[in-house]
This record gives sequence, structure tokens and C-alpha cells, in this order.
Amino acid sequence: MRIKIRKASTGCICVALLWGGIASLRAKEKPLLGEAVYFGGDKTLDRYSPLDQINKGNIKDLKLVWERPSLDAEYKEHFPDLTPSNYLRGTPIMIGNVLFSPDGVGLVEAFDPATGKTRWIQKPFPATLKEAAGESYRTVDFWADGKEKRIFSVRGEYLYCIDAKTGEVVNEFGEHGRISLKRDTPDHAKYFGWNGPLVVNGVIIMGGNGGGGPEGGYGDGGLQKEARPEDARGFDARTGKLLWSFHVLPQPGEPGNETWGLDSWKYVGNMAAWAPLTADAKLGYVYIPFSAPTNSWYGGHRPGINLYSDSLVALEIKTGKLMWYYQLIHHDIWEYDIASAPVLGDITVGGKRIHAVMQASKNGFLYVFDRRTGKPVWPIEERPVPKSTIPGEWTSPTQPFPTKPPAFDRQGSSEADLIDFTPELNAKAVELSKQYVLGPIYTPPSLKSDAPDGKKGTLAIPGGWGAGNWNTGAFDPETGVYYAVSRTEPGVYGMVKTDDPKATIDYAFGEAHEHRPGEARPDYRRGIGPAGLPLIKPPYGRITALDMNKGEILWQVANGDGIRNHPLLKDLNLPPLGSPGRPAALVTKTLLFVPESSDAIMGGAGVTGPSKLRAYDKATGAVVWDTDLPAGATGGPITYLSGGKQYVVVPVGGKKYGSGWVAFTLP
Amino acid sequence: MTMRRLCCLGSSAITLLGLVTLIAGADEPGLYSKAQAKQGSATFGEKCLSCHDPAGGSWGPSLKGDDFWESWNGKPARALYSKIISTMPQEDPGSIPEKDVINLVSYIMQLNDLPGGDKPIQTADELNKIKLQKPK
Repeated sequence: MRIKIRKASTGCICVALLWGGIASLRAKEKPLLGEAVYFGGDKTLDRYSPLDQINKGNIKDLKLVWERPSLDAEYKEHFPDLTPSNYLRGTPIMIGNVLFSPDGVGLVEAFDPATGKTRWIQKPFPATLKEAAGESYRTVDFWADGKEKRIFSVRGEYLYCIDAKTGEVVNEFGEHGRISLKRDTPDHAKYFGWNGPLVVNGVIIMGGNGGGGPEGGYGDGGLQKEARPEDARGFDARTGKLLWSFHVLPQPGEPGNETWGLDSWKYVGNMAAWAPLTADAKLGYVYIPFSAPTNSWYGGHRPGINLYSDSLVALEIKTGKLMWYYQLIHHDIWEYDIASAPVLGDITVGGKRIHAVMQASKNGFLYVFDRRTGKPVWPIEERPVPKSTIPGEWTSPTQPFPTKPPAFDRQGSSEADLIDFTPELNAKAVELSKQYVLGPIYTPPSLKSDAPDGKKGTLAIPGGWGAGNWNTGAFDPETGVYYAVSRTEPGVYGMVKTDDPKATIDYAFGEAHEHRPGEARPDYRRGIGPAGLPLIKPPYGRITALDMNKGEILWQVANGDGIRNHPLLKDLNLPPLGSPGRPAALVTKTLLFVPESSDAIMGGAGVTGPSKLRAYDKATGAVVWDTDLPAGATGGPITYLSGGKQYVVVPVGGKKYGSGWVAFTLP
Repeated sequence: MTMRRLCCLGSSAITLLGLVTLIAGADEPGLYSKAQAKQGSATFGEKCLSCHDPAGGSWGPSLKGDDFWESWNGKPARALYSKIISTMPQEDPGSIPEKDVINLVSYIMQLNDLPGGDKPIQTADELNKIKLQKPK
């Protein structure tokens, strides 16, 4: 089958001139005014744009101007069964007056920023349904050197290099335009991840695999302790040649290997950086947040603090050399992965200008460092934490606690955290809570009892889905304010001794070896409360503005109504309770855009109904405008200038809508 | 009991219960064979269960009950087939062979109380004739 692909438009002289004009600037990795080069902002991942054409005074006139499905109709014609996921992760970049994004099946599409019309679409190779089938990825990245302009994207096991003007693969890169990301282990362990690449100073940096199972691909089954360590790697942007690998699990002779007791370094894995990476091109450092090791909830086989799991690591971009690291969670047994991007920004603390990196975590903390040295901006104290009662488990006696800023979401469980919408609901919540072990943050998972009145496990707040996640974090370089977008959701960690013959681990998550297709699963896994309401107080989705010059909370608001209209709550005249999910923010000159999340995304539990896009006054948190989206946001909102007009584009998707991008502008 | 009688009873039951809508061409009371649903169950346990636990509480949407019908009520079974073969499993979309996807669709129909019989679905095109309709 031969697929016709439309050629890039060549008729626009101004676009061509712009292409030429931006080439030298690309080397500095800085966007032109009106462009959006990485998640709405630049490679600091500030999600900031200085545009102010759309502002508090006129945003009431903002209108939807185009919608584009997540898969071009041309592909549907060739592959009638090709159906994109509702979870469109693709947050476009806008460079040279062209939008580029992974589409609903992970192929790159280039389209017009003012109309949404197709410029070109990446061809699958070979042109079969199997090859065309795929998942959407978070974004692509752009690189230019002289007249060369390339788009890099990840799809399946491959890193692709595509000519930004034509959509054709660049043959001189790798093997006919792509390289396999399978690991260079003897078994060529699989690659899997949803992040796109980060390209800085001529190096493509890949954070690692994601969710590495025993064979190195996706899927921590919960019953095995074996996996492949998911190293970070750097590749040459011109040739695709592997330049360096950073061992997330230090090998013998490397510092940190001793933190893996009982020779667990021989078989433990995971720890991928699956949040977006960031880089300081001028300093020459890339910042990589690594995640939890195998197994996520039991670590008796890996005594020690387990470097570089749950660590923020700064590497030299050119060489992969370790410049500094800071482990944020020792010996993770909560799956608290460092799952947010390390946001870069300059702040002023005590009169001193600091080039900072701000690292949010699932656990609700924001850790702040001097990004040149790794020294904490405010002290991070090692404080005692509860010890595990599970036989064989090793608990770190202390965990790092930032003294500033305050946590941006609820931490730890106690009766004071239980819903109290009415005295009756509170009484029921208190009764339900008795089946759990409650305690402060870092209370370890506990054994699940089979006794009718026995404990079902630890009610951990936040749970493993996180307060923070990939969506958390935006930074306003003009005001020094960091915006944490988070959800409040507990997790129940009830562990049982494994009896599955496939298990290689002593204790596993309560249901891991119990559930079978069609069997009922008790609904306590996420701490569900009376009448299906949450057990924990709202807001369930929130935005926290943190003054990073002072390390203080400026304001905190619920994002969306959430379950305010639940039959048991609708007559109580409650304020907005916050919608859960994982929406990302966009900061502009005066506004903070935050959509509501989608029911199509993983981690979208509790998201229902249509969603809104809101603009908040970034100084106060007051809602100044909202509009209905056709479905919840599945990626980050971006803004840019095209033809002199400012646009806002949001990737959306939902069970009833499908998926696509929607664009807004002023009349 | 003759085959004609079986067909007649089956058609009546379907009509009366409003369980499914059969578009022209189907001549069996079941929409799929129970044997292929059983094979689909095995594939489901291997490829799908960790993210789509029918009991809920897992990463992805449950494929049973209201969660399922919210997305699929009124749609042709071919659309479910297309979705699975295009997007699943998420770490290797397109890797499940056509026959296994047909079996998965059969199992998901069974999970949602749509009737199975003896005659298997042979090709994806046959799924065009089956409309997923929530039992009343």
C-alpha cells in the first residue's frame, strides 16, 4: 500500500524567511517571542509565555476557532481500523509558524497554527496497520543546525528524526531515520515510555524506559523483584550515535552501588525518569528526576537507600557526567516516584539571586535547589519516620523534609482529614477509617488482615497516583511564583504474603495475586468513603501558588466544581470542591490557564462529565473566565502568536468525544 | 429441537429482552461463541487485566458494566475491535493478532451480559453486523 502524504506548504514567503531567521537562534534553545518550544514554554519547562494579547480585559471574547481530530482523515482512509486512543498526550510545539505534535497514534503531524489544517504527516514504515497503530506521546522536540531543521519524536521502541519542512525521515540519522531505543543489555531489553525526547546543545536526552518489567519493558506486575534498570541516555542529534549512558543503578565500583544490600543491584530495576526532563543549555546541565525501584511497595530484598531511585540528578549534557544529585525519598515503598518535571527558574532569596531548580514530587513536597550546585535553597532536614512492621522490610530511619516551601497538598492521614460535609457523613467516614492504619506521611505499607475487623492496610496520603505528577508545575519568571497543580487522593497499601508460583517477591500489594477477570474487587483501594464519596476532605484538585522568593504559599484554590453536585452534597451550598485528574497549567503575562482533566487518562479516576478551561488571575487565584471544552484536557495548554494573533490550544480527549486539539483566539 | 426452532427462539429472546441488535445476516442466537469468549478471557488475563480490571480500581477504564456502556453503547462491535487492535496493549499497540482481538471482543461482550452461542465470529468484518446495546 502506498500512502500519499501531503507536502509541506512552500507558498508562504514569510514562513520561509522565518525558518531561515530562527536557525541560529535554535542553537541557544530559546524561543522567539510568540513561539512555544516545549510544553508551552521553553526547556526550563516553566510553561510560561510573555504574551498578553489575551488578557483579563478581553478574555470574555475568546472563542473556539478550530478543532482538529487527533488522527488525520487521510490515515483513516488507508487504515479503516486505525483508531486513536482518547488519551491524546500530544502537547504541540509551535516553531516557525508551524505546530508539530505526536498525533493520536504517535505519528508526528505538522499543522497550521491559525487553521489547524495539515501541513504534513509522518509516514509509518512499513505502511501496515500494525506499524500505524500506536499511542500518543507527550511531545516532540526541535533541533536546527544551519539549514537543517529536524523534529525528533519517540514512538514504540524507536527514536525518529524527521525533516521539519517535509515530514520525511532524515536518512543520515541512525538506520534510515530512526534508532532503536532497546537497551544495550545482552537481552536487548525493551524500551517503553510516553515522554518525548529533549534536545539540547546537539544532544538528544532520553530519560529512560517507563515501568520496566522483568524483560525491561512496561509493566511492574507487582509480584517480581526483577527488572531492568532504566538508564538515562544521550544521543548525537546529527547521527543518532549513542554518546553516553548514565547508570540509574550504580554498577560495582561506581559510587552508590553499596546502597543496594543483599546484592540486589544484580536484578533490581525500573527507576525510569518518565516525567519530562529540563535543561539549562547555558550551564550545560540536564535535570533528570528518577522514579521508584522494583518493587514499588516492598523492598525487603533491597535494604539500603537505593541510589539513584527517587533522586534528582544533574548531568553534563555533552558527557552524561554526574554533576550533582539529591535523593528526595530513601528506599521508596510508596511508589512516590519523582514524577514531575524539574522546573528551572531564577528566584531571589534573602537578596541573593539564585538559579534554581524546583522539583515537585508525588508526595506533595516541592524541593528547591541551586541548580548549579545541588545545594538546597532552604534546609532539607532528615527527620525520623515510622518503621515498617512487614517481616523482612527495611525502612529508612529518616526521610528528607523540606523546611520551605510548605507542602502543596494534603500529607498524612488522621481523623482530622476525613470528610465532614455533614455530621452523619463524618461519622461514617470515621467508622470506615478504622479499617486502615492511619499516620503521618511516610507511614509504611502494612499487612492486610483477613479478619473481618482486621486492618486492610495503610491509608497513605498522598497515594501512589500522587499529589504531584507529570502535569505539576509552572513558573512565572517575572514574579518568581511556582504554580503546583495537584490532586488529593489517598492510596491503600495492604500487603499480603505472596503465594503465586510466579512471584519472586515475599510480599505484594493486597490484590496483586488475588484478582481474576470478572471478580469483584473491594472498593477500598483508593480510600473510597461513604456513599461512594471520597474519604478525605477536599479540594480534590487544586492549584497552589508558591512565592519562591519567600518559600511561602500565596494562595490555594480548588480547580473546578468536582463532586459539588453529588446528591448528598448539592443542597449544602458548598464551594468548588476541585476536580481530580492531571491538568497542566499555562502562565501568561497576567493569566494562569488551567483546564480540567479528562476521563480518558490514566490517573483520571473520579473525573466525570464535561470539562472546563479556566483562566485565573495569576496574582490572586480568582477565576476571570471559563468555557466548556468538548472533552477534558489530556495534555498541556499552549499559547503562541500566528499572523499577529494570540492563540490558546489544548489537547483534549474523552470517552464520548474521541480526541483532538482545540484552538481559541479573539475575534 | 431443530436449528430453525433454535434460531426462532433465539431471535425472539433477543427481541423481547432488548439485549442486542442484530443487523441483517446473522442467523445464530449468540453473537459470538462461548468457546472464543473463553479464549478471549485467557488473552484478557494476559494482556489487559492489569489495566482494565472488570472489577474496577485499575489504571484504565473497566470494561464491564456502566464504565463500558458509557463508551460503547450503541456502537458496532467493529469499533471496539478497531480500538483494541489500534491501541492495545499500550506498550505495544498493534501487536495482538486479529483472531485474538476477535476473541477479546467476544469476551468483553460476555462480560457485559451479551449472549454467546456456538457459532464463532470468524472475521473482523462480521463484527460490523453486531451493535453493542446495553441490556435493559
